Amino acid sequence: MTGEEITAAAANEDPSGMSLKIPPPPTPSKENKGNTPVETESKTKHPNEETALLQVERVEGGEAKAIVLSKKDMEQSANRLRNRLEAIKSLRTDKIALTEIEELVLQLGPAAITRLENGEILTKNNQALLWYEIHDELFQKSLAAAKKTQSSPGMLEKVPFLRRFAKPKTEFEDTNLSLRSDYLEKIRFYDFSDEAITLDLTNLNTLRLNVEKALYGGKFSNPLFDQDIFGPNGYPQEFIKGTSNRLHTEVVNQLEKIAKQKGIELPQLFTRSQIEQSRAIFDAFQAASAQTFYEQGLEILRNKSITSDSSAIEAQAKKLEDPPKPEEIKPLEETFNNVSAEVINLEAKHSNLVAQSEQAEASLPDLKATSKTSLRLLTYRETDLAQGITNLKDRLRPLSAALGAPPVMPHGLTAEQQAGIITTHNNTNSQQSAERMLLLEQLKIKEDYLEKMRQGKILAEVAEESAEEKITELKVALKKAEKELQNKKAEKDKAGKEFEDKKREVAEGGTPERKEKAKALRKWDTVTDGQNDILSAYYYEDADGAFSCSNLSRITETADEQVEGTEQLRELIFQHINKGEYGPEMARKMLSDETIARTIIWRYKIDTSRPGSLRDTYGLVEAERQALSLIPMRNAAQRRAQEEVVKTAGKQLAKDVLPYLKRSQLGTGRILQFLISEGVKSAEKGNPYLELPKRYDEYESSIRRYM
Amino acid sequence: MISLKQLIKVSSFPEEFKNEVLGEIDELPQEKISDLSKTCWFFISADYENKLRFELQKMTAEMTKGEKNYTQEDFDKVEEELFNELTQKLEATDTDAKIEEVKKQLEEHSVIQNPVSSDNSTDNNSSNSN
Repeated sequence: MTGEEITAAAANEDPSGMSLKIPPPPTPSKENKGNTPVETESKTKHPNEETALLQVERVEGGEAKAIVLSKKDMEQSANRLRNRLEAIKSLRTDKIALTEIEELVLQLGPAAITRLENGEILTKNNQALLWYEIHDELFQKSLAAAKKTQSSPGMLEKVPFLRRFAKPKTEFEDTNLSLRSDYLEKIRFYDFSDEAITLDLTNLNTLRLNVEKALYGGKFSNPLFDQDIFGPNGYPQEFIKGTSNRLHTEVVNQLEKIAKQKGIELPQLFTRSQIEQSRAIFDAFQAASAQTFYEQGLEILRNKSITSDSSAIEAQAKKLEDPPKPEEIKPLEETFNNVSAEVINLEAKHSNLVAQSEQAEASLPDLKATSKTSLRLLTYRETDLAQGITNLKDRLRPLSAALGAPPVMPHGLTAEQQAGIITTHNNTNSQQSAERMLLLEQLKIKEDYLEKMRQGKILAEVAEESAEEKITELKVALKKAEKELQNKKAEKDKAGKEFEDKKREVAEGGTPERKEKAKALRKWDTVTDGQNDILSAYYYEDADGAFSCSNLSRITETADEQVEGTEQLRELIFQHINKGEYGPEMARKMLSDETIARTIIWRYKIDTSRPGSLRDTYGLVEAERQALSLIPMRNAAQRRAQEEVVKTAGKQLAKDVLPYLKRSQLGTGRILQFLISEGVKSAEKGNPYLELPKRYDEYESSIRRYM
Repeated sequence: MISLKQLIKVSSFPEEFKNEVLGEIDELPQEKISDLSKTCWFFISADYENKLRFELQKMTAEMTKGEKNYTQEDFDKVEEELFNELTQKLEATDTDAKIEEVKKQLEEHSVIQNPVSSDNSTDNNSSNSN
């Protein structure tokens, strides 16, 4: 008789005695909720017994049903419990701390084993203990073997009426985590062969399914309880590994953070007390859902679809493919001539400024010397005059005091004598007055002269300062003119190359570069059409594989010395939608390492001015680019060599910033969208090889649209 | 029907994001309103389920330790209180239809019972928006 036959017989009250009926847990009535009578082995209740029973009641609930376990399952359960009990006793002898489940097995295990072995009716304590022990063992062994044990429905599950005959199949999925526990060390589980582990896990899971079906009925499938409340140690099995589900992946990330904060590894977190685990899961879930749904919301609110002007791109491509006509040379020649004339003008302007500047600088020492001499003389005269003025004032002071004073008349003089004194006094007064007038005139002349001296001194000083200012102004103007001239010369070189290329193209009837460029232009249009597929591949289809954030951020090099991350990113954009058309060389031109790196720098607002290797690399890229711009277009070989140097520097820059792509799946998704959008815009203008401006602020509004 | 405005207010999004949505709400196309409402329901449902799970786990742990003894009614009460709290926040207590809607939406957007659903909403979003 098979297990199913025994079960079926039991359900029909088979009197053979080979099956066992276990009374269901009583449903709590309104009158005695919380005081449900518990069937136990003894009258003394252990708190844990009561707990286990109540949990079973809660899940069972509803109408009481007969619970049936096959004889085979009972034997197997008894064996497993016995083996576990022995191992626990041994752990206790070794003074190793026991887990909550192990304590339960130690206390309630012997009675349950006896009943199982004797085929007696199980109490609810027995049932609960059995359930906990099986789950605990399955969980520990699954994690230790780095396998997630799961049950998939049998093929009959999908067929109505035949569903009851369907048998769940045990399957395994490899995970990244592995757990070591004292119990598994004790039974030397780590020495088991792969086959033995697979067999043990399969048997254990089959037993779990049978016991669950017997205890809760086939319909019990509430994941809220299945995964968490009744999960051994409270560990939600769904979280064992990160899935492509964003929320779950984020929960795992958060759990890892929490474990790290506690200074432990993630699996160890689930060996902590149940309440600690619950708290960790709660916090991780809160943080993860806040993050995930916020990102989703932002994605909805900000997401703008990328559109391309296909006809503009096609027109540009067609222009490149059509054999160039002789009349196309003329406008390029005119442009070249105009730019050449502008260069001549700018050169003249520049030379003039150089001459002025040199002249000003040359005359400055003389000016300074003259100014210095003048100042010295003026200062000397100023001092001399000031002294003269002081002397005059000294002489004027007694004269002014004497004038107006009455004549001194001693007593007892005759009238004649008095008249003589008055006459003398008047004469003296007249002389003094005349002298005073003369001195006052001299004083005024000297004071006016002093004022002029002082003004002259100021003018001499100002003249020197003005000359210096003039030189500074000339230097600024000269620098500006130099830059202007340099840019114009580069423009002239470019125009000259275009003119020469066009002449060659007309003579040869088109070039392979033009055809490749046309192909690249059309590729951007295809990318726009396939943006949904690209983003779906990134977010969902291959989110754990080639196009995962961690793969896109790889900085190791491929066999042909390319950065793996940027190669993968180009494959995602260009190859994913149209494999036949993909050429890695062309893709590297369309989206260089440097362009990808610049986008990452903008997306994450990375400070490239902070001292460190990134600043050095960033500076190197700028310097090499500048060096390239200074090489005339006609020096093709030199330019090619310098272009390689720029590429190498760009590769290093990409390596420095690619790890940022691991930060956020959404952030990297936005970078993809930005690159596609800018590539398309550039293609519409006829350039399929995307080049980004150097400055973030020049481009901010465009960046904000996608990032 | 519970509006996006109400859902945004109740969801635990950052204030800045809430203000951004509320500021643009009148100009948003129907498609985006629907996608955002869906995301809100997933968020609210996840929050609700997480709180409920934690409370139930806590009670179970207390029972396992023998510290407390809860009844079926106590477990049900936790769920009921959480649900009432949510309906009040959503201002959905005035009609039975609204209460039913909350129940239905929580069930439809359960991230535990249907873990892939929360991602599906994004899938739809990117398809729609692109």
